[in-house]
Amino acid sequence: MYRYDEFDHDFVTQRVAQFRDQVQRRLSGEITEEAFKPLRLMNGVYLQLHAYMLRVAIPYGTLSGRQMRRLARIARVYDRGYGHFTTRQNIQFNWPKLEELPDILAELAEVEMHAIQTSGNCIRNVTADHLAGAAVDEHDDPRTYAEIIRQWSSLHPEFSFLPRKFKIAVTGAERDRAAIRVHDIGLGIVRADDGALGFSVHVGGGQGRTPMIAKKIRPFLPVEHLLSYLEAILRVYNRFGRRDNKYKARIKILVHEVGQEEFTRQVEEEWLSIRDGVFNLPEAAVADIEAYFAPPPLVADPTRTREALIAGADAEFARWVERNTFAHKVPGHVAATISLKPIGGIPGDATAEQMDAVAALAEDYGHDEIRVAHDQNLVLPHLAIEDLWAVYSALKANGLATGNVGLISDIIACPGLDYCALANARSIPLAERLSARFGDADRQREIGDLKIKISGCINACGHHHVGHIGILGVDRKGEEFYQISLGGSEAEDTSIGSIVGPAFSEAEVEDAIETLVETYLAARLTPEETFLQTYRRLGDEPFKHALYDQRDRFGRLNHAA
Amino acid sequence: MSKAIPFPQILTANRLTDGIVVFWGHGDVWVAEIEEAQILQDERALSVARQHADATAKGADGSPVVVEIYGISVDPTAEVIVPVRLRERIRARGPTVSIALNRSRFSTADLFVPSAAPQE
Repeated sequence: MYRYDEFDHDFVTQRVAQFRDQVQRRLSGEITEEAFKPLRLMNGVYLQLHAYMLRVAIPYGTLSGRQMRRLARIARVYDRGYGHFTTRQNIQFNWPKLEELPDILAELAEVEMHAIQTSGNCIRNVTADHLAGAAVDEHDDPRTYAEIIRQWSSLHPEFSFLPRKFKIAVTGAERDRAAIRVHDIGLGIVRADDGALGFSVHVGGGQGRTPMIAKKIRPFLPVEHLLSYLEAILRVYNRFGRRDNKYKARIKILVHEVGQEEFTRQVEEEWLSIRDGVFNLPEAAVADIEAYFAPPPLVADPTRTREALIAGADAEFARWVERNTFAHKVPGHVAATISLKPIGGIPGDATAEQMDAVAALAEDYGHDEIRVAHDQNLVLPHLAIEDLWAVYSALKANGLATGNVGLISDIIACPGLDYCALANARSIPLAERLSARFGDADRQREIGDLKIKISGCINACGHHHVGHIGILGVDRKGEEFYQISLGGSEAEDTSIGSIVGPAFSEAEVEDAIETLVETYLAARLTPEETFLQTYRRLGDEPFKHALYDQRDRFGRLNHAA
Repeated sequence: MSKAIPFPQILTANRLTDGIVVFWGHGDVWVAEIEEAQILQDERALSVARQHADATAKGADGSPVVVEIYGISVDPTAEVIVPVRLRERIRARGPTVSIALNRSRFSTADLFVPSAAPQE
């Protein structure tokens, strides 16, 4: 993984010193809150519903055991013993004290971490496929390019005051595990017919108030032109993106308003003037960065397979291997997901003890590498199949062995009204109740792949627009109501879910989800047909009917369908 | 005669040093417990309290104590201080979920919802 050089170390150290001075002057009253607020936001410090919140950057979701242990220490010493992993592969701490934040940032700097550009109208954390460097189906490791983009976008003098935040994602395989089509810029690594590597470039995706799927403005961009082309896109956005209305300031609105053709023309025109100049990426430069992501020394072992492991194994372990492990490039190995979605628990949270346990496993079995996935789980990308039982046992002892990846209890939920000043409704308690309701292992497997995503407000940090079942919390006359949408997808078949009908009260929404599941089970052609496939085959109608038309003689929804 | 306000108000803010939620309490000090907040029944009381509270947010003379002061409507019929808005009830009590317990800390019923909470 990327290692700071002298310049990087110097920079973060000075940045911490600068922030320490700013905090001191704020605490003494020398600078006002109005002046201080943009400064603290530049270091990822928010003021939320209950307290300050610190969002620490985890570049493309990759970290070492040492870094994870430091996050655990921060949770333990400075916070309330836990942290939350986010849908942009970062971590959030919910209770830091302002007066201690400089110390926290100093401790982060010691392990090559920071909270820069995790807030504000700048380019944010570049996210990537959480199975990068391991997945058997990838063309190339997207993290090389995510790191190049990170370096280019950090403190970019021209792009530090964009009309609005800017989010970039990179995926390395045809299978899109980074949701690139709902990002401001999404890059997919592709291979040309002659084998040359390049990127498909997608611009103007996003969720929030106005969800949109990105437009593919260039099907093949050679690697050497990566930065010059991104520069051109950002220049067009910076110049023409709207600054008059916060709700229309993302690049997706610009692309929508000028149209894909005209937008592309503007980008290509700008690009012509800067390509082959200072932004050009020679092969040697790419190779230098690529070297940081050299694969670990894994010894192929074709005799070890997951199938062999599952046969005759403990049932729970077999389920975990089946659901949570992913085929690795190197035979005899897997990438394994550590579920942070315990049945009935809070999605994406981990205690300091759990973080330490994950660090130890990475160090002992995982070549010291951990990933944060955008679905709020963690990943150990390089595990030997022969070690899986030991890893699983340790995970189990720490409450981290739920074998539910992609199943109905693997819910994404934003912090919601329990934590967030922007929220209209709570999302975590609903996630907990749904997880508990559908928690039975056999039932979950029967239901199969089903992604529920819950957001507490229209900003959609829970990615509800791309949930197979999406749930949006709304405030209706002071009460929490939940609006359901169906048929969203964040994968390469990206789609925005469609709202199925009027919102449900907090008391009714659980039963409504049950109704949807029962409708699906009754309607699917085979057990292999997933919820999403059934929905796409049949459309809204049967689900709407089940939810809204089937009422018993007391006017109650009939859930016995 | 002081102008009436639709709901009694209390003032709240976040403590600067640690961000914790505080309320303008008796004796013109910021307190952490909502039960100790001053209930302001009319426009004049609100205005006076606001002036004194604002003074504590400034620097220069003394270090600033709080940020983001604002008023919360409270239920006039309740025996204890109950904010009208759910958001403010959660803000006063803390998150309704707890990783330590791996379950909700308390049910919605505990979230001081009186049987006929007035709507704002």
